[in-house]
Amino acid sequence: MSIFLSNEIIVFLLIELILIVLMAISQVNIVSILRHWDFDATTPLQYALEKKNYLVNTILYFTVTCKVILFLFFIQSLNSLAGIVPGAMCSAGVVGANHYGNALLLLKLLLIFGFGLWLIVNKLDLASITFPYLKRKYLLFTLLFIGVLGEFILEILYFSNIPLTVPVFCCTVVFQAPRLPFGYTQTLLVLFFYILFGAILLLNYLKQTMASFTCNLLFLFIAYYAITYFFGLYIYEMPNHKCPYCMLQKEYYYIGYLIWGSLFLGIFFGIMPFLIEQITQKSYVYLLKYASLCLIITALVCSVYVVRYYLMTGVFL
Amino acid sequence: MMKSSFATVVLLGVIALLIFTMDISESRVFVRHGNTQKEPLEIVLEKYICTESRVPIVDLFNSAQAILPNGDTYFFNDVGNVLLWLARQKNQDKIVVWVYAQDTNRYVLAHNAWYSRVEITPMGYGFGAYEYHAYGRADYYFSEVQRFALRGETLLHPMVNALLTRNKL
Repeated sequence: MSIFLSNEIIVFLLIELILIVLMAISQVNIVSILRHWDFDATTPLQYALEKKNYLVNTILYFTVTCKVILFLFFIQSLNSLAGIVPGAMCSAGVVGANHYGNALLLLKLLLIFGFGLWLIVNKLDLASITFPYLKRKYLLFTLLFIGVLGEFILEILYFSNIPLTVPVFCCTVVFQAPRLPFGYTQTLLVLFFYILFGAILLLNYLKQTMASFTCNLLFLFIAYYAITYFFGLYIYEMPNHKCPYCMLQKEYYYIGYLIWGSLFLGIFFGIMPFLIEQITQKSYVYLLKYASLCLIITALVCSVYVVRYYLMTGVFL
Repeated sequence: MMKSSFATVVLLGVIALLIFTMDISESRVFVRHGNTQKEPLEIVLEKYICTESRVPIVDLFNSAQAILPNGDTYFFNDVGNVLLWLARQKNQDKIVVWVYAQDTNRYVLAHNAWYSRVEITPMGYGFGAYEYHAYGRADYYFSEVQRFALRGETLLHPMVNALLTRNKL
């Protein structure tokens, strides 16, 4: 039995390969566009490049959107692999099956953020008549393309190193820790979760993009740990079940997709205005409203579980 | 100007709060250095990490320690883990291995211990160490269980598991 015989993995890697081929075709064209682009010129070459630009944009728009959707499929595939990998009871065991799993997941998340940034810059570029951000947009894509190639290598390494004969750990073992990250206690984690949440809402209201950017990055880590080590306990209603993945399963009504989805979207909208300002030198603060909205959903859903548990049992876990 | 100053204060306040409440003193021990006496060390439960499986050691039962010639001591939560780890090391003969004996509740030299194959162990390999020969239960030498571990003939193997638990192997 090989992990590469699994339907999900075959489909996933095949789609990844097709997308990489499409991106490579675009990248070849991008190099020629970057080398010869001169918007003020009225030569046949510039005319051809502008047409090529539209073609490349269309291909990239398609591939980047596919990559975002493929991320969800990847998570789903990990869940299904839990049935094949011995010892794994959810994605935690599959992700932690070797050293590449967590690095791959983090890289994927960063690339998704990068693709989102590219889509916004692309939209702004196409909305202008003179394509003012064309070079920066394609340089950004080149970086992302290198990242995608690295991601594909990491995926092959990851899938080929998942053991099918030696048992991996279930989530309870993976997240069993003598001490929480950075030595924080559960109470401190929850306190920081709400402090940072409040700070982000305030900074978003004041439209302070750089401060919001920093707070959002901090919130990403604090929220991850707070959800895994505190809020998760109330979702599972078990004092020892610490896992960020089990909540994605149907036993918990797929609530993880709402929690993680709104958190990542909130962080994405929170960090984008600052990055877009750096790239385009233009204000793009309206995204901060969406950031606040998404993070309010995350905090509300998490808090509801704690309050519900307390009302039902009269104690905290 | 007022807004950005206020934002800076908020940001610095949050960062300061995160940093000042941080406690980054050593919380996990993977290896202890300087054990030139080559004696077994006291394992602090849930703080010492198994070198092979990378999880905290939560029980002394089935634990093991391996001491390199330079005094570096590695810890394991399952006898099966130390057997697999040992097979990958150079100069195996110079590594001192201690295993926790289930009958006397103390560490004994792995090469002198007797082994059972049907114990309930953290990683499920099933190897249990005994200081004294327990006929019908702990009948195996170190070299034998090491061979079983390397061949995968442990309780994790369904057929071996079935034969061992029915006492047919």
